[in-house]
Amino acid sequence: MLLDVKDLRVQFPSSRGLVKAVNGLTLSANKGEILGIVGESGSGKSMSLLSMLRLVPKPGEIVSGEINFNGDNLLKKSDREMRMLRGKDISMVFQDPMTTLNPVFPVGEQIREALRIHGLIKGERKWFFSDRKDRERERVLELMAEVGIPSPDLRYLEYPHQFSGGMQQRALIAIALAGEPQLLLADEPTTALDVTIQAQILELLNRINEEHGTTIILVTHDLGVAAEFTHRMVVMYAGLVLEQGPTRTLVEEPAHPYTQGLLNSIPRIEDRRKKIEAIPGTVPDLINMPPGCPFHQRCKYAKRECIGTELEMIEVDKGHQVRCILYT
Amino acid sequence: MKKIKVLERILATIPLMLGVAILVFVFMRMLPGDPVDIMMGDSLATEAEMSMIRESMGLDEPFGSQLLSFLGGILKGDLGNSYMFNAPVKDVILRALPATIELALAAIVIALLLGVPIGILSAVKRNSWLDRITMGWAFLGISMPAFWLGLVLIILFGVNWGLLPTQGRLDHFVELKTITGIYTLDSILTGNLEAFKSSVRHLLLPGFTLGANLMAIVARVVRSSMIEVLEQDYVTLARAKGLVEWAVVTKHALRNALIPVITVVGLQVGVLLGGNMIVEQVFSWPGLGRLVVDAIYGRDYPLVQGAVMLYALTFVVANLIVDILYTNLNPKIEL
Repeated sequence: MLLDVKDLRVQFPSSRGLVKAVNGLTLSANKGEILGIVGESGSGKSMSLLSMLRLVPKPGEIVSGEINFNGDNLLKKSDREMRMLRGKDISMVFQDPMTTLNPVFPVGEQIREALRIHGLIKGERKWFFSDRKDRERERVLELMAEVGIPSPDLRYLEYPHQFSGGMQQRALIAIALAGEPQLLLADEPTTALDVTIQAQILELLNRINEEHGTTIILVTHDLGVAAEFTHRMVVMYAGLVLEQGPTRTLVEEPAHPYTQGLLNSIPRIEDRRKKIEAIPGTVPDLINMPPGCPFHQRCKYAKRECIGTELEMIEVDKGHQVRCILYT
Repeated sequence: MKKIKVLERILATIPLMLGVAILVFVFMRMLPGDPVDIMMGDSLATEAEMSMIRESMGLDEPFGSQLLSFLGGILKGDLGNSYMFNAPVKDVILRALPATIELALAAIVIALLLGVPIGILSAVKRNSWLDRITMGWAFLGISMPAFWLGLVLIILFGVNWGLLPTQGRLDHFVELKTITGIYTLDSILTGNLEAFKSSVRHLLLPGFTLGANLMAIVARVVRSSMIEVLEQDYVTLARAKGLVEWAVVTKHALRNALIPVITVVGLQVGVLLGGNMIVEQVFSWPGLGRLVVDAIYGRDYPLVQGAVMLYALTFVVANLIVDILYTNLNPKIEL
């Protein structure tokens, strides 16, 4: 097991009270798999990813839990140790490529910086000058070619605004790959892109997973994307995991009413007669969470016992767990 | 491409400068008082002598032809003769200009050296006691008039503590061969350490007085733009790359945060060069500001006209430089 998160809680103080963004998240990722985290906006997916790098924006704070990476609890590490890990062992790809590259530096230099920070390329001294920079440049061009940026040597010195959205995301993936990370966190990497580009980026992530054996955690609100590109899936709701299991099982036999609802709300081309079923209501207020199952207000199977009963995950099948009173 | 755009901008200033020339010519002559009267003062010149002088200065000609000959002179690069100094306006201005430039540069350097780090620190430690104190001082710096701050500094550093000189540009016992007229630069060029120390010491108080306002503005602008930038995704990415925090701030964030600061400083350069009459008066600084004040009192039309045109040119050039710097800092913008 590469990553093992236990009972993670992230909170933000606000003028109205504590916002419980992540509320007891427990999940694990195995070496070499693509794990999908699926949920609506506001379900705590992005915050969960940022906590794995310990980059939760202030005034937010990880209040409790464990994040074990290769057996070490990241929450116990010093800031310096954490920095050594970031961009090297754990990298991240962000949601909106247009705002994630720094507008004032050439793209190639931003990729090179990722190599430079961790001293990944050693240079040789010739007279007084090291050829480190040239070697780093060579490696950057390799990375740019690997992620599918055409004519990298011409684009090395171009600025982010000269790149299309898809190319920017490729550049960001190149930055993430620079450290040859064991774990790649992808936070809605295709949400801001056109559909055709989305598929290309997901293919690229898939290839990286296959060729380098990089473990990928793919956060998405798009169940279709998760169904196609992940091995295992975690369904999050209001900062909590409601169901997890192999992607096939979850798509074919979803156990939790919420997962069922999510699947029913995807329009299907082969089944035109069937009406799309939307889940009524919205995500609960993260400040005043309903006691018990957070989904009970929107659930068509809700019973009186759903309110107030804090459930553990229940194993319904091998590797398939669900948090629902229907399975007790 | 870029060079052509710069050239276009420079050419566009010509009609602007002509407009300024006409305006200042008209306004000066609308002021009550007669240059010859003022020049003669209480002396016992007769009416005939006075009109002779007037004639020799061309003041007896009709208004329109005076304006035309002034404009014609400008096109030839001739700004006329100063009444008070009886010398070409160009020479009089050029003699006073280096002192003013030096003072303005000192003010800018002091403002940036203090203002930028203060702004960064306040932004990074937002809402801390440090932030509150520095921003309180910045508020004071914006509201404090230069003549008052200058006097306070003179009393404290000059009179009470005797630490720094309060008048002039150089100690009287120091000798310096002038090349550019900017004493700090000249002393470096001639390798004159003593003169360098003396001129820097003389610059400190007036430079700080002139720069205090700008420093406060810079600190506040840097702070607010830095706070905005620190929340951007690319800053999070820089952290996610494993970069140390000070490098995140000074490299990734600062470069973006400085873009609005350049505008503010650029616009203030004109103000510093043109608006330092009070500071030059307070510190007996022999620069253009004092000269212009004297010229206005003396109704020295050509000198005032020349100086005002120089001020206008400064604003235009400062704006152009800001725009060029802008394109260098922000690759998205072209001239």
